Amino acid sequence: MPIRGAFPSLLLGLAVVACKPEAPPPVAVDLPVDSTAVKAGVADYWQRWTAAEISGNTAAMAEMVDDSVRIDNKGSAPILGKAQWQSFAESMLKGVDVLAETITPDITIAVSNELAYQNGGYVETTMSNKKKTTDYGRYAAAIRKGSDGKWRIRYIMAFSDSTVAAK
Amino acid sequence: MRQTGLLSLAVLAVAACAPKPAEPPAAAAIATVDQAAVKTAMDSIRARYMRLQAAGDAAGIAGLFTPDGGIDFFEAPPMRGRAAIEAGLKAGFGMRKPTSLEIVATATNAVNPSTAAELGTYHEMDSVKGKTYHAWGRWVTSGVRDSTGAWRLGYLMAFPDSTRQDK
Repeated sequence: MPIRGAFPSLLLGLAVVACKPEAPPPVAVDLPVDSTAVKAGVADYWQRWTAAEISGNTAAMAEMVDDSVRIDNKGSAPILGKAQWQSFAESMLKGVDVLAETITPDITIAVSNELAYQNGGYVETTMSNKKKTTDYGRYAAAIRKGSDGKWRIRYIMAFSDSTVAAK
Repeated sequence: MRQTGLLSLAVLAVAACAPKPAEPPAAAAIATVDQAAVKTAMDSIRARYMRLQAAGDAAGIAGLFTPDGGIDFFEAPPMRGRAAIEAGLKAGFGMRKPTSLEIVATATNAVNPSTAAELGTYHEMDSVKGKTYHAWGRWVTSGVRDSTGAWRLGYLMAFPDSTRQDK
């Protein structure tokens, strides 16, 4: 990867070099993004996400998305912004208990230390009207770390590939 | 934004040290993401994708992706890598002969000079046993600039919102 995510450090490096005219020409050092930390942060994010869904805590679910989040979920119109998301989540979870949810990332790209692109799959088991169903689906997301250090979904697209009713 | 903050710091430092005339523009060139250029590159990829899809050229479409690129289409198995993309698309084109594809980008964002994300809508027309099927849907993609400077698709996800069959 050429200079993915290295700009802040690179800029400071260039600025420092600029103060020393005799120094060798600036070398574009590819300071690595801490992919391990980014992946750990996103993994922790999903753990908290599933905990919020299972407990039906829509306020927590709202807090876990960016103010200007966009959610493209098959079967519903684009959801724009935190308030719309909370309203959607409240109606989605009305009369529905999320019993279990597993999110399995496929590919995670640490674009920078504050931005990750990720795609993967999910399995969600819900109970509604005494009927238990399990959804198997896929997602692609951009997850951003805010200035408060918290990761939040900036964008997510998701669709369910199959729904299996428990007998 | 942290990056903006550091950019300002770098610019200030460069100005304060009065470096060689060539240095500030060089720093600025690296610091600035040329959104228009990235958009032009992504526009070009979309235009080629539309042409290749209309021609049923699965190998050509696979060539638009990075070697480890991936596709997640609704109701199709995940495709990872060019060979899998070509095989997956070929299988799909065998069932439904593509006749046209219109792709519209509604948002393009270059997060750095070598990584971009886009999302938008599409209208696809396929022919099955002489009948024309339409699908309207949404998509999201990531673009990556490779070591040669060429832009390629890193990932594509799409699902249809509605379908129709001509009478």
